[in-house]
Amino acid sequence: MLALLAAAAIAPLFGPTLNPGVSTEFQREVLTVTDALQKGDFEGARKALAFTPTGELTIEWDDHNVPAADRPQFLAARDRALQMWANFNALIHPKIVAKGGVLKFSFEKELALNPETGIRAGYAALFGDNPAKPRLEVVIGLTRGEPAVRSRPTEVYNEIAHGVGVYYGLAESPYIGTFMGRSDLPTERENMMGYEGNAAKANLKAIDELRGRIDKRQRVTSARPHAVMDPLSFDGGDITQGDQYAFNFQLTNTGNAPLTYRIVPDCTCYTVLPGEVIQPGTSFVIHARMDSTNYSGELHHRIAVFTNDIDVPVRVMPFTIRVQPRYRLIFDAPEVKMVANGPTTLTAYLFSAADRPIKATAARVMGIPGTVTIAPWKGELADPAMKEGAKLRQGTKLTLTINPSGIVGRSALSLEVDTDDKAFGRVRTSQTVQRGIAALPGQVFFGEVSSPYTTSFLLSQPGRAFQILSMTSDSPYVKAIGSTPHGVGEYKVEVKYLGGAPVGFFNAILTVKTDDPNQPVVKVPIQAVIR
Amino acid sequence: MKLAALAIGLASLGFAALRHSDPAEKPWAVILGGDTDGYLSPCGCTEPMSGGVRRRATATRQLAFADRTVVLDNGFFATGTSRQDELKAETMAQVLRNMDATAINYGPADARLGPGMALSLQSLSGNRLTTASVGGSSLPLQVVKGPFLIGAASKDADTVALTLRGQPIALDQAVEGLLQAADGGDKTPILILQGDQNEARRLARKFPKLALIQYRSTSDAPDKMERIGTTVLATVGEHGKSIVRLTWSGRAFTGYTALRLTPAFPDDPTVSRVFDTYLQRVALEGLLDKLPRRDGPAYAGAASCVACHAQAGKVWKLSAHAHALSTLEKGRQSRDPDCVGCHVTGLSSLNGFRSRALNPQLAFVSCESCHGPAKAHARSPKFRLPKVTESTCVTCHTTLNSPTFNFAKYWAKIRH
Repeated sequence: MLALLAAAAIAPLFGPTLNPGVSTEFQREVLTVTDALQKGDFEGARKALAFTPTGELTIEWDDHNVPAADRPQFLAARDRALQMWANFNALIHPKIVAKGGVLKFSFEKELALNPETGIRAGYAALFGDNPAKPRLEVVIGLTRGEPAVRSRPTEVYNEIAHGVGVYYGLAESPYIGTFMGRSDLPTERENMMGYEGNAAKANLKAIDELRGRIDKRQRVTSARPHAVMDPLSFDGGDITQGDQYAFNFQLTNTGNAPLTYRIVPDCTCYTVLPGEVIQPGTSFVIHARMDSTNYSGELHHRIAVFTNDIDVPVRVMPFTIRVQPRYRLIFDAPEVKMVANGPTTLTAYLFSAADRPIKATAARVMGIPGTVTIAPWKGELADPAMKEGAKLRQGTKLTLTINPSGIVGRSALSLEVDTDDKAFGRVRTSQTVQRGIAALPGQVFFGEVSSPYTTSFLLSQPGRAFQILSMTSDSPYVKAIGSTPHGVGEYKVEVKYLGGAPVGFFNAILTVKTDDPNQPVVKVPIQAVIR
Repeated sequence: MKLAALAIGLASLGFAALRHSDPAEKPWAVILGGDTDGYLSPCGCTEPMSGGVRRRATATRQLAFADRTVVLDNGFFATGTSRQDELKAETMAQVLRNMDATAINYGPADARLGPGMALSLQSLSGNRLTTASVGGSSLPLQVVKGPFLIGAASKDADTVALTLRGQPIALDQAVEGLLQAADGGDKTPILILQGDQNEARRLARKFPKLALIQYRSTSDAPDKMERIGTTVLATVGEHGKSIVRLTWSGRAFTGYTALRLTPAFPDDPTVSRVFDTYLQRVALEGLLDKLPRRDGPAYAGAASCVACHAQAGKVWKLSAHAHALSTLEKGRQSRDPDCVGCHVTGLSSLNGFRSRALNPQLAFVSCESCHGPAKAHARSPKFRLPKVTESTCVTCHTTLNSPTFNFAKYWAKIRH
């Protein structure tokens, strides 16, 4: 107990612990104060404190460059933005003053191109060090973007909301649409207040804390947390789809004060469990978890870690994971299976990695009348989609018997399989089947047209030759203008919209007569949107 | 305290009133997009959704430099080969024509839609499809605009060649062809790659003359451009959630802007019209009615449930579940098979939802969406319904559709 008391007695008193998302400028201001307090220079600290933000938000408003017609709307936008800040932070009391404001807004006809983006800036901010002048001056461009367009009240609202945030020591956010996530581009929407209200409140409390130390003439040690992240990048190797994959990384605080942080994933496919403040000289293992059910293939992601480490406020850790599919359900058939009249048999296989078997318990055909039988299976099979040649596999063989008599041209058949796997209890695949001659695509679509326009489609019966005898349209606005052979059993047909059809959705049918005894007539639907 | 330029940085901006330099030195904008993966509308169902072709068109127009703009698209219009995928692809082709796309990478995913769709997409896009992966096809090997020669390639040349009935060209050979053509024409070579970052890095090291490689990624568009030597590597990330603009000074890519297509970008009116046509085509073709359905137990309808479970019914009526279909109706997507399944009851069942008119008692996410068909239970409570757990919720509240889903928080809203 004595040892503890002794330790408490000699433990240094630190300056305030700032939140992640605080601007570097604000952190520097706080450090200027605490550096003075550390030396016992209380007057110096009080002087430095004068440059920190205050709840009494006095604002100078210089709109003399704004066209007179725009002034009332800009004023209204300003008042809305200030009111929003006041609503979400009771410590802030905005007040417009003629002179002596801590924050000044003014307007310029045009700002420079932002060299980072090449876009015409809509906003610029400058901190001053003259106590007689505003601490922060925000200049709003009357034009913005590239090509430059006039700034409107919405953008003025957003810039003012952002400028107040900058004054209160908040860092830029990469998320456009919040107060601190501004854009030089024109925006249609007034940005939303996000974390900013509470963050500004926390900064004001930090300043109050400093003021208290100065009043009490307490020495403090400047807080300089320093984050070290391990690893800096991460390769998760191979996992199987459906697995809940957990991975960790460590943040170590090698500084002298508590390290705060906020973690922003770049994808909703993984979550990062919230952590805690990391005390100096200690580490914290951050747990991330990925649900791979909806993903497969090689995934590249980045975790952004925002901290109150002034030197590197944002660290980004890239990571890679290769998700192997949990199962494969494939047809042993060409991409388009040609079928004739009468029952037709198709075969599909469900299989998985040998050490993680998956078994079909029931199956059904949908889209086309048919039945399925299932049986355990072991044999050699290629998996072209995975670029795998024939090799020994094990799983379930699904034998489909379909009745294609209702099929005209191409149709999709769906195979649905119930399995014994909890995460993939019901899996599906599909197979294209074709009976006779088909138009590809099934409907000829011109898109939006307002004048004569030509497009083409294929008339196809792979591997089985046929001749086109004639082509006639049921509409005076559309005409087939020719056909050319495009392989065995295939023609490229050109169709022309002749113009003049009534505005709106346009539908027609092209009737193609062939010498194929099984299909002497093929009807091809045509669609356009006439403007 | 010293002067410090914040945010945009006045020092670099030269503060106010700087103007364009000599118009002859105006830079080019190269705007990257693509990998839409079928997400024509914003990715996800809950705010703040990102992406969508309507926002993309707005952002692209905002970022364009009048007549000195190159718009590139990395293809992957859709992920499957269904009729809806075809309609999506045709819509994307029109959207890109509307955005005055310079070159569209015709890669394996789009080639799987077949040779007929290749013709349709080429026509609807205004002949903007290109591939350097196939020789002897109807698509151009490269596209020239301004100072650039643009080639589009993929590792899987075989799939593309099969559809286009041409000869596959291996990736490295395709790049060599692009570089030779660029050298001969004194152009700056750009590669649109259907390949990942590792592949892009490998190519950048092997072919340092490439000025830019646009690659595919499952992550978001990075905040900064990556360079290997003088080659810039860039990606827009997945599902068309972002676009990237690079500015070409005449000697190098300088400016880099990655924009997430948040609700801050309004819908482009022309592309909105094209998107509306897509929704109408989906509805007109009755794709919702054509969905495969399986036989199963009968549904009772919400009114039957509420008749006995009054307290639960009260909670449900106040929840968003009770208005789930209305949300789609407002967005004119109430016949879109991509969406409806999670906004009604029993869409995949022969006994489930068909339309509001036919099944008004199933035209929302109701008790039976989670607890299962309950007609037998309504007749006799002895037929118990299965217990509902988080795994039931996540069939719809997936990480993609419902990024902020948290079981404890969401359950609190509908606790009954």
